[in-house]
Amino acid sequence: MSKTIKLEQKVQAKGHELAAELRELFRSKGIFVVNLIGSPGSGKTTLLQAIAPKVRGRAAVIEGDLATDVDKRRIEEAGLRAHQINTVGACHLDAMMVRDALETFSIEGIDLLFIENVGNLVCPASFELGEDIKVAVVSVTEGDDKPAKYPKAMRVASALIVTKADLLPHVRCDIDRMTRDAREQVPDMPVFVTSAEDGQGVDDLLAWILERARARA
Amino acid sequence: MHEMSFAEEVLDVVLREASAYPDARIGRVRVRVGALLAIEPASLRFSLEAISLDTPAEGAELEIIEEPLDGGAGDGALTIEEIELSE
Ligand SMILES: Nc1nc2c(ncn2[C@@H]2O[C@H](COP(=O)(O)OP(=O)(O)O)[C@@H](O)[C@H]2O)c(=O)[nH]1
Ligand SMILES: [Mg+2]
Repeated sequence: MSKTIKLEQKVQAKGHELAAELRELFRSKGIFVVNLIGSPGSGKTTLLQAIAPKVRGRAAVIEGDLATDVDKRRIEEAGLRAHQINTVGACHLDAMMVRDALETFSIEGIDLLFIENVGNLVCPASFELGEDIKVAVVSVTEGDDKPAKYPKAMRVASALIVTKADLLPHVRCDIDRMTRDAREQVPDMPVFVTSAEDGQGVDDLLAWILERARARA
Repeated sequence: MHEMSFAEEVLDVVLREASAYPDARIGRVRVRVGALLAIEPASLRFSLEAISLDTPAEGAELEIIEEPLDGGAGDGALTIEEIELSE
């Protein structure tokens, strides 16, 4: 004999409600939030340094790393206010860490907040931080198979940002392949080919982010 | 590895529901997972298997339906559809 219990019960990821509260908070303050996901060394901080002078006074950055405040200091040197979260062991940021950060880090007077997640293309894809969009950051030096190998990161991303394009002459990297694989997960996904070294693509990327922010407001 | 925290929540619910039938074992659990959760089915299955040892859910089959992104509330949710008990 067997018996079936019909349930239809939703189970939430831990932190789901908190992320919703954060989203509400950011929205009420008119802040558009971008969560950057990419492997260690993919160029997330350098990209933010390149964006920094263009958004001085209106943007701030929350940095996530296991240890050190190196990235926070780099962002401050580039002219933006920044806060460092050290996750100690955790491979990703979660909503609780962001909420705790906001207890000491003021987000008054800004309309753009970047959150650089812990370097990792896997776990951060699963955690909502109250952001408006996630963007996936992949450098040309990591190998053009990465969008195919990390489909879930692509699926939750609103754009693929290819970094270090100035190095294209030196590495074998097929941008079309990356684009195709990313769009396999999200059709029409915008792809920005950028370099913090020579500045290519950075203005286009920022314009797209600001357009998304306007569209939300 | 957030599959483990989902597995814990699923096991809680399943054991609570099944506690009304003290002689029953849990044969099968069916869940739907939203695309935004980025849950790896194999990892969810492994996590549940590991934590259900020595409970009435030990050895239960976990059926996972992966739902495509549709812009609705289901995208960010894991839904336990049904639990099948066997005597
Ligand atoms: N040539 C070149 N190197 C870059 C570029 N962006 C980052 N890098 C280098 O890549 C390394 C890692 O960058 P970083 O921004 O710290 O990566 P993160 O771990 O993703 O924050 C550093 O040595 C950077 O100088 C770029 O656009 N061009
Ligand atoms: Mg960094």
